[in-house]
Amino acid sequence: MKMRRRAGSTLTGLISLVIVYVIIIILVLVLANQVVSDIPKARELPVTFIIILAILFSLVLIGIIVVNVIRLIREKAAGRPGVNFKFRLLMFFFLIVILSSVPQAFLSINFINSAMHAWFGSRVGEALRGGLSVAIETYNDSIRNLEEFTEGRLFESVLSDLDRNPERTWENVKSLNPEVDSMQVFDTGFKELFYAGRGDEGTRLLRSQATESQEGLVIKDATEEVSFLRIRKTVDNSQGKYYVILSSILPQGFDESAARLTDSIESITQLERLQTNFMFAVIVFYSFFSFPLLLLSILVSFLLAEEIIRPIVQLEDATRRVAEGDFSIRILSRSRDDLSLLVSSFNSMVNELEHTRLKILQTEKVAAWQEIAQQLAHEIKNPLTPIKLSAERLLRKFRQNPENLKDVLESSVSSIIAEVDSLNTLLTEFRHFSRLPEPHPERLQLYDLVKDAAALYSRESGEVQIKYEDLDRNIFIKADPVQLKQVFANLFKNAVEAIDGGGSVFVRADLVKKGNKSYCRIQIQDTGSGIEEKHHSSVFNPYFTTKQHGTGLGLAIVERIVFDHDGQIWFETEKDAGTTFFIDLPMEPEE
Amino acid sequence: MLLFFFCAAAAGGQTLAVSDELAASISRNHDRLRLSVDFFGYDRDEFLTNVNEGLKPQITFQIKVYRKAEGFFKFLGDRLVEEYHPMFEAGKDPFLSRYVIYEDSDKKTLYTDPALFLKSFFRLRDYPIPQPETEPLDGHYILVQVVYKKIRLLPPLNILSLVFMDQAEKSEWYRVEVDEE
Repeated sequence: MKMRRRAGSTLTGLISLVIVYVIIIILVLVLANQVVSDIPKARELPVTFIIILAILFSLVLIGIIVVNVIRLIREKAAGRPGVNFKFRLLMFFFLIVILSSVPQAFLSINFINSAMHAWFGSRVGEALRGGLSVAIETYNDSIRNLEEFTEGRLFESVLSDLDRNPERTWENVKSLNPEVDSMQVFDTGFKELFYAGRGDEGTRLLRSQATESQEGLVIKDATEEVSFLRIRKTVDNSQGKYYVILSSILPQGFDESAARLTDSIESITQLERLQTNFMFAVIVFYSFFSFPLLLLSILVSFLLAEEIIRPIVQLEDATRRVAEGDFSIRILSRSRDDLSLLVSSFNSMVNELEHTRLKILQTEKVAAWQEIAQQLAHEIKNPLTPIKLSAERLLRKFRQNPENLKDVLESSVSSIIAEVDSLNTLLTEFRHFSRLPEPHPERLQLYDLVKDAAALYSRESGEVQIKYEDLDRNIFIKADPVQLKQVFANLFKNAVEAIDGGGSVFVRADLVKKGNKSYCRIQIQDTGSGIEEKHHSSVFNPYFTTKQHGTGLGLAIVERIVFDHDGQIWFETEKDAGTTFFIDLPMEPEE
Repeated sequence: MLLFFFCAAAAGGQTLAVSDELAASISRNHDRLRLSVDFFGYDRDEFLTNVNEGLKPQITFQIKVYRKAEGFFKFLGDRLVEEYHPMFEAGKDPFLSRYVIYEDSDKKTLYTDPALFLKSFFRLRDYPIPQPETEPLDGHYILVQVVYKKIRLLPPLNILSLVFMDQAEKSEWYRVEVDEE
């Protein structure tokens, strides 16, 4: 019994594709994150490798899809069962993929575009640039304040008391200009004489730094803690010459805020300039990774469609095989499968059919043997009567007139011998019919086989001609050469004997297709008197004959051999026009 | 400018590679080479406009030191000994109203004169190339390429560089021979 399990390869393929799908999504996320965060690294080898891999992967997917499409077209052309259903399923899946992905892509890109306009529009740019102008103005105000303060007369008068009481000078400076945060005094050798400041000493200069400072120049400086402006003023009065350095601390976090502001302005300026290019890049980037996913979805559609139609195709295939007489086929289904009930019912049906068929076969066999036994008894009984009559005649003569026994002895014994020979022939044929050996098929060229069989009769047929029509030399069949030669010999013999006087026997061969199988159809047609209608049903029966010396086993043997070769035989006949015997034999598959 | 560069370099006994877009020369001091590269393939006005608008052009000097293959293994090609990628970024400090060049090691230099700023940005001056410990620099040569990005792209615009729309210009690779001492 042949058991067919639904292949799990499609499911494995499906799971593999889903895993690949997830891997691609992860790679896209990793790459997108890397691209946005650190582009120099993104241009290096691993990312380039990922891009090449994505392109190769897309090409491979396209290749697989093309192969699947070609296979589908071929299946459609060959009329494979379920292919139209598969085609409709694919169209359905494809439509779902397109309907779900295209609007999503459109909406995503449109959202990015809208968001970019909303978040980084011209108003935001103007606000940032305005903010920077305000910051610069404030900064410049601080510089001007320091410059104007140190150049004013009030500052000079305050410094007049510097050598005697620097603390008091610092107090006066603080009260005159609240923006001054520290004061440092050096002598001409840049030795620090005084330092005072608000809060920590972040603005305090080292001697080396003081040496490098320049007169009157306001510079911006920074330590780890603070940023500040610094100006140097030389005091040269009657008490001596000093360098006074005043510092004004900028607001907390000034440098960081300024850097953020300039970076934001840099970003917004870039975006204003490259907005069109950016959207194009987004579309390319999106397509670059969504295209393989789209291809993957199409491939999944193929696998899903195959997975759905597979049990249907298997059922169809199994049904066809059963119809062709193969009752050994069974289908194994997975548990929890939706179609398992149908498969189970099918298997039960085939079991029942096989059981019934075996019973019918057995009954038919018994009936056939009964009929054969009756025919055989009848055929044996026929010669027994003349044998008995001849023997009784001999005995009667012997008793009545033994001297004249010689007159009837020869004729009676001859009659007995002839009838015994007839019985012997009958029994030999029967033995041959009942012990027909198993066929040993081999690859045969039909043309040669037919020619060989016809040659036996072409010499004996006299005015009957054997003609060949469309007998292709390229037709090969798989059959037992001895048995098949016997089939053709019997049919040629019948055809020649059916023709009274002159006539023709035509032989031709054609290729025919039944379902998925190819057959060679051989026709042997005679121009004889045809078969009477009342004999049509008995032509292939054993011991049926209309000939005086026929055994009635010729066509029965022919039918048996053809059946043993998985073939079929039948005839068409017309009174006074002739008879055509048709034989379908399975073709040898092309090598 | 090219003529001046050529004459000046020739006077110093340097090895040269000169074209319309790039001039490179090396000078040798005992075991140390110094490489100078000038890039001319830029638009002065465009560069200054970008900087004044708050954008930051970027220039990278790609330097590869090769050792010439000799003898039986010549067919394998020359061997890459070392490579360097010094990079400058240009910008403008809006508070100081000065041009700035940022170097690799967070070093920044301020400029008030645009001409000097331009010259300094597009020039790699006396870049030191140390002699490898295992072999002398004789029989070596240097390949130089300049990658000039008109704008340093910030996220998310840096996606443009993946689709090669990042307004970057690359010079050809130029070969400078290291002469024997």
